[in-house]
Amino acid sequence: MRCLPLDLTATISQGKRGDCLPKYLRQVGFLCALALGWELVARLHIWPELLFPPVTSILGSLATEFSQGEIAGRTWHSLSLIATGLSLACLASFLASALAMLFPVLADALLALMAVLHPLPAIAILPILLLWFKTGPHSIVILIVFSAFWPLTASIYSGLRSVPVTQVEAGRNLGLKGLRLVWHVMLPAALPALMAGLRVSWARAWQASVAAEMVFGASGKDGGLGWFLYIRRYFLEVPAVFAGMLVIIAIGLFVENLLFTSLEHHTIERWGMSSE
Amino acid sequence: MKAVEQVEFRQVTKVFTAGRRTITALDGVSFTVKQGEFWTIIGPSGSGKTTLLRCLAGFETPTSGEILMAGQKVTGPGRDRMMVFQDLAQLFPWRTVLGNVTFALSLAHPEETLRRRQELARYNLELVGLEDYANLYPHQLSGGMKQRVAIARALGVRPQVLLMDEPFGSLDAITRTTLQSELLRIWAETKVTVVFVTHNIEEALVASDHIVVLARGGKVHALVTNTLPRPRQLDDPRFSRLWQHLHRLLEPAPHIPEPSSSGARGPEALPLAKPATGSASSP
Repeated sequence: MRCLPLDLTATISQGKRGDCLPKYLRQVGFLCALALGWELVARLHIWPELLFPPVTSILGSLATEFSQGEIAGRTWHSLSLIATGLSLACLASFLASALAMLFPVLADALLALMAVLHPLPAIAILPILLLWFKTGPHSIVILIVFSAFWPLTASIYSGLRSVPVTQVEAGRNLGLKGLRLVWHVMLPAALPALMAGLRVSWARAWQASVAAEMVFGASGKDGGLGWFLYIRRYFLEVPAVFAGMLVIIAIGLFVENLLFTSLEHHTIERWGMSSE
Repeated sequence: MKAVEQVEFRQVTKVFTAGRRTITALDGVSFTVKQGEFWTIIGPSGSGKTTLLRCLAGFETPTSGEILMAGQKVTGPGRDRMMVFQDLAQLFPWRTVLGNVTFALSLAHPEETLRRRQELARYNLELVGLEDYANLYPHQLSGGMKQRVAIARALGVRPQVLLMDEPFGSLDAITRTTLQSELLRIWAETKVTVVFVTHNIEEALVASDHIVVLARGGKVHALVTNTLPRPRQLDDPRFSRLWQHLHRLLEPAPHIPEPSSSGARGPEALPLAKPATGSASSP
């Protein structure tokens, strides 16, 4: 045999060296290095500063935008549209999947609709929305509902279908049926799938709303972050464009890692349902 | 105590159709359970034990015949017949031990106050010896404890009949024995009627007053009355005689090879082919 013990110690010591910093610190370190590199490249003035601003001026612009209050207002606007849209999508998805569970005919219809409409990128229905509902927050909310509804319904419906049979029968034994059975037993049992669907829907809705605002920007004053990016690009305020992107990234990270993770921690992980 | 007729099976037949094949799970099953009795349904696998219980629970509808519950025809699931399943996943994982029991109580007795329901739930958890685990979630419990909670949840509803579908089938032998005697104590305390499905002869003999022996194809092979004094002693010669009797009843019919099956034909064809090739090469 070759020097197996030696190999083993080598891997162990290597693993230890890797573990001396927590994973997230290493990742933060990498991002800081990237920002530093960006700053250096920008300072070399290879490309015009107007198009490739240094990190310092992006951060400075972020600070001014916040102090003037504009970016906060835009962010609030975007988030409130998303919240409205996602809530409506959740409600619609729940009703659609519950009805599909109760009536097989509706299940066929829903699956057919899903097969046709799920592959359609939400932003592709924007022109029609503009014709039907005119520009404004209504169209964006409808777009958000559309983009979130399909992935959410797909996961809730498949989640409801894979609920353990004995739990459903225990519920029926206790006298539950119809919508009450779905609400009290099947929906909580499908929570892991629902959470996964919510994550996907949130990402889709967020992308769709930013994209939509860039296409037509609602009604100027009360546009959201997409509109902010669009208008700053128009006036060639490139650091502000990057600042807006940073805010979008920050919100994404916050929702993904803090909101959803802690929601899961307090529900499905606590109940031992997350491994399913 | 004058025993009242509580569950009546009248010529119950259940046929399942899967595509063109039909499978007879129950074939003309009739028997009558009186209030407070402990009945066991025993039989080899595929004899329709579980189907019988599921028909009584109302999860399945008999193809013909009828099941009467206190004189009323069974048409669907009901809280007068609470089922304890074999599946350890029957508890609601998002509710605590106490929450599982109080939820059942809130559906069964909505007229009671929240406090009263909590008291009732705690009483039922004490009955199964789990009062100290009230705030744990099902995934934190062992298999035996989960089944105890399921029993507490079912009894909390105060059913007329407790249906048990091999409830201790997924447990280890020691836990199983403990829970059997616990169940007998609970049965004596609550005086609930029990219909219990098992394929374990000993389990059937320790617990029951009456045993329905089902044969493959879902026919009642025998109705055995078990009058041994309680608590039942395993070393009682009468116990072993009854055990032998049941064992004989459950013995499979003499094995007849299935001619059409391809697996059975293979090995038979082999010895015929071998001498043929051997004799061809020898001269």
